Amino acid sequence: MESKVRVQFAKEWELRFLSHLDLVRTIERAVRRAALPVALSQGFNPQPRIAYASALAVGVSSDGEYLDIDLTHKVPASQVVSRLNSTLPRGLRVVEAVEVSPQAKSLTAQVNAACYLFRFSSVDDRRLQDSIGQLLQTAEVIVERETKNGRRQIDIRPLIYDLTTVAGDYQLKLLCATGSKGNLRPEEAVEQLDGATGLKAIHRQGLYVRDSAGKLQKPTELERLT
Amino acid sequence: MDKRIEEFLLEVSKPTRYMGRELNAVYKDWDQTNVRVALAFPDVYEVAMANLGLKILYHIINKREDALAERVFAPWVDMEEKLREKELPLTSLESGQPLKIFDILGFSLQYEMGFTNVLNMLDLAGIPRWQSERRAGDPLVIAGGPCVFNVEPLADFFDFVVLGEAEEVMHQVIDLVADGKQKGTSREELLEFAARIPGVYVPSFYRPEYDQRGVFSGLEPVNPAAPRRVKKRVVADLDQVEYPDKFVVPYMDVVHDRAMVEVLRGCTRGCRFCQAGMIYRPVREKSPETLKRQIDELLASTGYGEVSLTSLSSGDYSCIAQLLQELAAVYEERGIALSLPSLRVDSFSVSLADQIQKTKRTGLTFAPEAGTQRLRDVINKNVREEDLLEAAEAAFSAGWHQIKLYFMIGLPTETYEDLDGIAALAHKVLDIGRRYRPKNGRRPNVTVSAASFVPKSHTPFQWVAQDPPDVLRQKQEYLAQRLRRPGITYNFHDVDTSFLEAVLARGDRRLAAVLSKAVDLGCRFDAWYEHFSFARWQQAFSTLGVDPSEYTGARRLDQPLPWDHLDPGVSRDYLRREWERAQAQVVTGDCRFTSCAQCDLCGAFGVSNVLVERRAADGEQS
Repeated sequence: MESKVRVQFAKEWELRFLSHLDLVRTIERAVRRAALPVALSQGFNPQPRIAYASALAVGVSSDGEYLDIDLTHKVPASQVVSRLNSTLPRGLRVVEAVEVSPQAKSLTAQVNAACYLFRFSSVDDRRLQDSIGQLLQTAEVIVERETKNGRRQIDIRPLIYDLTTVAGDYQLKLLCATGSKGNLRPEEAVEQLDGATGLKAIHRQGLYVRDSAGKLQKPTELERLT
Repeated sequence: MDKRIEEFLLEVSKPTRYMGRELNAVYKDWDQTNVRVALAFPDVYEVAMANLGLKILYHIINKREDALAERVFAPWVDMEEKLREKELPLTSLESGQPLKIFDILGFSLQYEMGFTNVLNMLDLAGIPRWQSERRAGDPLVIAGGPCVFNVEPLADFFDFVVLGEAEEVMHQVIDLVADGKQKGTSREELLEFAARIPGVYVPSFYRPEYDQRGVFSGLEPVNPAAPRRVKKRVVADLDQVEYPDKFVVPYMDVVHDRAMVEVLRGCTRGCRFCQAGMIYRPVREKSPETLKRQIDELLASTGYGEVSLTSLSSGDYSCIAQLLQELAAVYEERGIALSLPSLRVDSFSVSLADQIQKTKRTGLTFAPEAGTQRLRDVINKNVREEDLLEAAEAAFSAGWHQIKLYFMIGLPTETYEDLDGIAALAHKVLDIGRRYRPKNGRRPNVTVSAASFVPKSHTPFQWVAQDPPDVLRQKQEYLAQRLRRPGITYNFHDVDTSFLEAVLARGDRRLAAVLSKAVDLGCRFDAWYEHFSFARWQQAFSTLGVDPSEYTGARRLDQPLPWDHLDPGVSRDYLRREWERAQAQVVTGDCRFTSCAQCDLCGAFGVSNVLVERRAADGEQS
């Protein structure tokens, strides 16, 4: 494998109905149409080597999703952007691409934080602020989750890094854990709050790599070669 | 998509069924486009999107400046509930416009179990169900596809139907509608013009007659514009006819999600149970140059990773081995897989196996259809046991470990000995697979799928009775016991569904009221096991006083048949002769390779088989 390119892309509002698998399928085909020299996996059923950071749920739009694509020949990152954007269906868009080291750690291993924005049909500012304050002061917040292994009790408080009200199109912003080492489902945080009803939209502003000091970095900032 | 649906789309399962917004979907200016056609498939998105016919029409119609085509499929039960609850009409995927404002609403009728969905979609669209109730301003509700060769159970619901291949006749239909709009032609007059287009059947211009016992006794044209018999349309040259260079690419996982290229149309093997083989003649192959060009165009415009070379029997394509070799050379290193649908046992060989295995390997499917040579001769499936075992040998030695075998039970003259034959074949094939286990490293699996025979119109078996349901069940149980072995998987179909299919397949217009009642009782998605309700159907039959088993029984050779006026090209003489040969266990050859079987199509239609190799011999290939 000659080179690895890390791509930041957006799934816009009009395609929020796509599931993660739908997205994977769609990008795979766009890569073929763009005639990018993607490396194939070994074995009887060669698949294009494209790896994702974290699945984006159905109904959620995003500005900051990431994938790594292995190429057999070097292609300038700017070309990866333009060639993909010229063929992606409306509603999917490459924001940025950078070349990273072929030995770069996988996105799933590194990405551990996500920032979500929420829009409600009705918000009582005072009550919401109070409710946020209360939640952040609580030591333990137990929710019940349906997982593959049945119902489990999970403390989600340590998964919530920051929660604030915002102005504009959205009213609430959440920074939380995502990934294999701890994953918060955005609705779980919202369910704990008072003062906001009629959830209309969830938007993932971005995925990040968060260090122990709480510093956030975009996955494309790490390991970039240029 | 209709914006009102978007508001609650996240509340239904698989929202991408209704979203549209796919790559290569065509959005035209509604107000600037004269003729608007809604292409409807009476099943859900993930099934409908596999249909090649609608893809071809979508492309052809949208290429015209004066017309647009949009898609609409059956909403799943949860979406239907929401539409009814919120009183929203059925709308198209592209523009979200209600179906009832389109000029033409065209249904693709691929299988009888989709019939109730057709009526249900009309209801959801707010379009009068019965043809006689439609007025100016209602769309022309039409249909095409294999089931139109006996559309009689649905005849009272369609303004007209199109027999055969639609590529050319669709233009004539659109021209007619465009002209009619401009001149303000009345609906009745429009239908008269339509009846004069070759291949168009206007059911309301014919009146069925029944004898004292209520049995169909004939169909009379009652309008001078209506021909005695309607002849199907045939496209003579597949290299010249329009074929899409782009397909709409679905987001969701759909059936047969690959770039489909039709390698040939028609089949002259003459298997006596097979309606498709009878109605799609003659055989017309595309040249390898055309195929390669079409494959390249489709891969470039869709980004699919797999190409499917489709037809009724792709293994019969004249230069299949050479074509696969050339395609594999180009596509193998790009990681593009090639797939062929079910292969004839006698055209599958070691060399073919070699070619296919270079690319992706899934399971291989063969269709011996019957378990003994005797019965295979009766049905004219000219496949010998040695052929099947050699094919299995070639497959397993090339590395396959999964083989699927299609059979039918309930075939005419069948005895339990023939069922024993099915089991014996399955075991022999598995035994071969097991010999290769050390080499292949995986346990071999043989899947036996045994469908219940359904006699179809326009076949030599159109006079044959279907086995009664309890006999079929007994046979299924008998087979199940004999197939109990690790490594053998046995699939069978619900007998009641097969029974109903048989009723509709050889039905007449008396079934219209039954269908209508069945839909009112809640029948829909009959092809889906979890939604098929035989009890509701029985209620519909008994309420209307119709005995369904009348339709599944045998017919006399001299009896008028409800589909006699619809002409697929093969003559009734031929069908009768083939039925007699079946009973004498005499086989008939394939006119591509042996002599003419005198089905009388070529002379009557001015067409003939078009084969690639023969073209080269005639010097016509460029």
